[in-house]
Amino acid sequence: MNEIERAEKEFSILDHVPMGVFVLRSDFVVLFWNKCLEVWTGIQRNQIVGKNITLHFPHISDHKYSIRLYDIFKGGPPTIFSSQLHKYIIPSLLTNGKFRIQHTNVTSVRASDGDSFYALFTIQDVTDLTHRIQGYRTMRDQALAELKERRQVEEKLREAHEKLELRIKERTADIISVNNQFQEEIIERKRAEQALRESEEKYRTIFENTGTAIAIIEEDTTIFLINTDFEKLSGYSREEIENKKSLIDFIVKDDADRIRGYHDMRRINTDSAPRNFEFRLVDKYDNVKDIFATVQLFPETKRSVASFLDITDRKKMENELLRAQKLESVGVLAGGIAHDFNNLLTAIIGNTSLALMLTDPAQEIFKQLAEIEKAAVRAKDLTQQLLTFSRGGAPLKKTISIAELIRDSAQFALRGSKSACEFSVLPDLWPVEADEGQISQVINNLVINAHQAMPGIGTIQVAAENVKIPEKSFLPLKAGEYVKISVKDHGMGIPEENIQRIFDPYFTTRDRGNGFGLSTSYSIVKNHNGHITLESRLGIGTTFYVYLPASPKDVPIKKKQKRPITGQGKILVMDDEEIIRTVLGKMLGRLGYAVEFARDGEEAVRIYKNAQESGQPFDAAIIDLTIPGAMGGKETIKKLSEIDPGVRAIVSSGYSNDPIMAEFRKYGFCGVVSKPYTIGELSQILYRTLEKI
Amino acid sequence: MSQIDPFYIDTLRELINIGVGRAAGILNEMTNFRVLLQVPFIKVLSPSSLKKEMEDLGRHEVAAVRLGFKGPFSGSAALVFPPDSASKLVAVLTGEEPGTPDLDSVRAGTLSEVGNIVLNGVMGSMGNILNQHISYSLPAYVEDTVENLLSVSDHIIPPPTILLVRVRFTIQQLLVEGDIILLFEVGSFDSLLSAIDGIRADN
Repeated sequence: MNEIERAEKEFSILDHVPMGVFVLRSDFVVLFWNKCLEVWTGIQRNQIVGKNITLHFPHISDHKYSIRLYDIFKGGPPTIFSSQLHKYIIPSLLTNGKFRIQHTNVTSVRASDGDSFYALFTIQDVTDLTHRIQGYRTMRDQALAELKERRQVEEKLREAHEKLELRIKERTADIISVNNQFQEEIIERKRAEQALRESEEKYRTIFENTGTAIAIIEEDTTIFLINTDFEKLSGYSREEIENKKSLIDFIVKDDADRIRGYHDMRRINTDSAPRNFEFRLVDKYDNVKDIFATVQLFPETKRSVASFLDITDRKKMENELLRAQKLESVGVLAGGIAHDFNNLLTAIIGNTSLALMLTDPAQEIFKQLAEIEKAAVRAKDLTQQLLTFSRGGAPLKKTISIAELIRDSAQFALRGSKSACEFSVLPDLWPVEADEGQISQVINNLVINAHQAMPGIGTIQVAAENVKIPEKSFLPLKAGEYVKISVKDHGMGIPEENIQRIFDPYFTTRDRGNGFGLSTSYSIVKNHNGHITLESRLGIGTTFYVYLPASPKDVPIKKKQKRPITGQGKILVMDDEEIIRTVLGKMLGRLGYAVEFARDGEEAVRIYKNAQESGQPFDAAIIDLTIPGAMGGKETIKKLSEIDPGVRAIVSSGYSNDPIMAEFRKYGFCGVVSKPYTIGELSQILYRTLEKI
Repeated sequence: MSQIDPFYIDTLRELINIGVGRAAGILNEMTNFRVLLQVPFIKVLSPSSLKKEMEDLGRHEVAAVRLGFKGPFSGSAALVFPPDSASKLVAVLTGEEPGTPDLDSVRAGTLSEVGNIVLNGVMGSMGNILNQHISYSLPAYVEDTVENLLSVSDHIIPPPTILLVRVRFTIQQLLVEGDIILLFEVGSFDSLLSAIDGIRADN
């Protein structure tokens, strides 16, 4: 049995272990090759046993192996070739094409000769183990990496958490601080809001209670805010106006451009537009109101606040005042003219009436004289109107009931016309202190005016009622009881521009009018401490209203007048006008009186005194009230009264509306006669004076 | 333990240095890394002294490659590392990424080969001195306390002699320190010293 056979016999048991086993001799000849290695390597035992292993595996001869095997063959300690440092000693492929991983132990085995040593290689297949461990490592590494990552994440989370905690603390502190600040601000804001509310309430109260309409207006003229007075002024509610209507919507067309111009100019240069101005406002019901506006821009804004004062009544009063002033000045002139005219008419009428007395009525000249007298009487009516209209003219008032007077005057005015009157006169109308003639003239004028306003046939509504005028009325009247007369036509109405001038003397729109009717009426009513006004709407008609103060006195019962024609006695005539003295002398002479003349007061006093002293005193004196440049009637009666306290004097004047004429008794006169007068009128006055009626 | 003649210590250090140097050569060749092995000191200790020495170094749990030997002197040889040092050493020798602390069976196999090379170097040097055949057991990897590893204590009378050899591995700028602990059963260390005496007599 050779060495190889012995080795096979000795190590054949190792065919049955699941490890690769082979035995080398010190010359690297393979003595044993177990079955496991046959399987692993595909090298059969008979192919390798007895041959140098380097024929199949040359790397075994490398120094790193040979140096360690050297000790083995010397019987040295076992040697390990680990899988990590060597991978494999005997390369063998697995079915997956990869090399089997091996862990190899090499131990010394005493050789069969008893002296030398073999090297016994036992090779463990650690492929699965290695892979499992590698898998484990991978998993572990992944787990570690994940753990590390997780720790890092946790660390970051922790840091973030700490930062967050810190941030939360800081933020909480900030929030607490801000909250405290906020609380303080809330308290402060509440205080401010309360103050603002109070302020707003205060300003709202002021805004609402100024008694003036106020509006806040946007740049585009839209009305932003109004107060209750503006609602009343405009007739619209807040909801209808605020942010819906423009200021321009309330302005009459003729004024709109001007006000819009102010509005725009004010926003360019505040001082360039007037702060106060007037315009006419149209309310919801098309009423036109005169407005005095005051506008101011809110600082630093384009909004303006405007107050609107309704001056319609004031405007009316102003117009009334203006009209009165105008009439007054014209009246002075008219009075002067009437005075002179009356003197002339006195001469004309006096001479005419004398001439008529001296003329046979059958003669042609009588008719002509009668025409002259008639024309002169008509001229007297005209001067009477002038005088009535003129300033200072005091009517010859007495307490009367004007109900009948209204009817008579109105019907008289419409005689011969196709128009008719419809009366609505209160039966128990209050009495008034009035000059019958003048009031009759007023009614006459108004009814004629109404008739002329209605072309063709029409009905004039005449009414009279008792009214009480309160304090603060728009009418320029004292508070108290009045009789209100209205004359209403259904004519074409009076244009607004004409209304202002309707009471002006000589103003007329009709061919037939002389322009005195309404101005005279105005003056008469004024002199009765009353008022005349009108309302007119185009196409609808005009109504004139006359207010006369009611009298607390009862209406006296009328007495029948006696008509003495002639008389006797000595009469002193004082007049500066030669023609008056002449005609009066003739008239008195005709009536049976003896007459002496004086040109002025001084002369009259002297003559009267001489007559008194001579024992042939005057029975009466007819004294002119006004003597230019010398003593007039007022002074003369005083002097005469001093000489003769029983003096009987008649005051005469062309100024029939002079207060002395109305209150002659107060001044010492016994009678009054207005120039011009007829011989009949003169005789009656003289008769009553001399008879002390 | 009686004082050892410095001569023996010097001789043993020289023998051990030869063996360690040889092991370093093998490791260099195997790994293609420059592996430097140094022996800063060797000490002859009693089991209790060894225990204290290990405790001073903080080495309670160790990873070790142990090799039994029997013949003219018997005992066991072990290369021991702190487990993390062992792991680092294996990682650098195999080119693995460092930082994986555990020693699985594959790594344990690698550490066994390293220990095998070092211990074979040392034991080979000593065997040469004795010029007698010593049989060895297969190297085994163990993780345990030093006390359990060597299964010795002062209570055994007379106590065994322990030769502690500090071995310093320097690989790729990594410094790893381990210890070779040679435990000589009763009489074995004396046999070793006698063998050294024989060498001195020959020279």
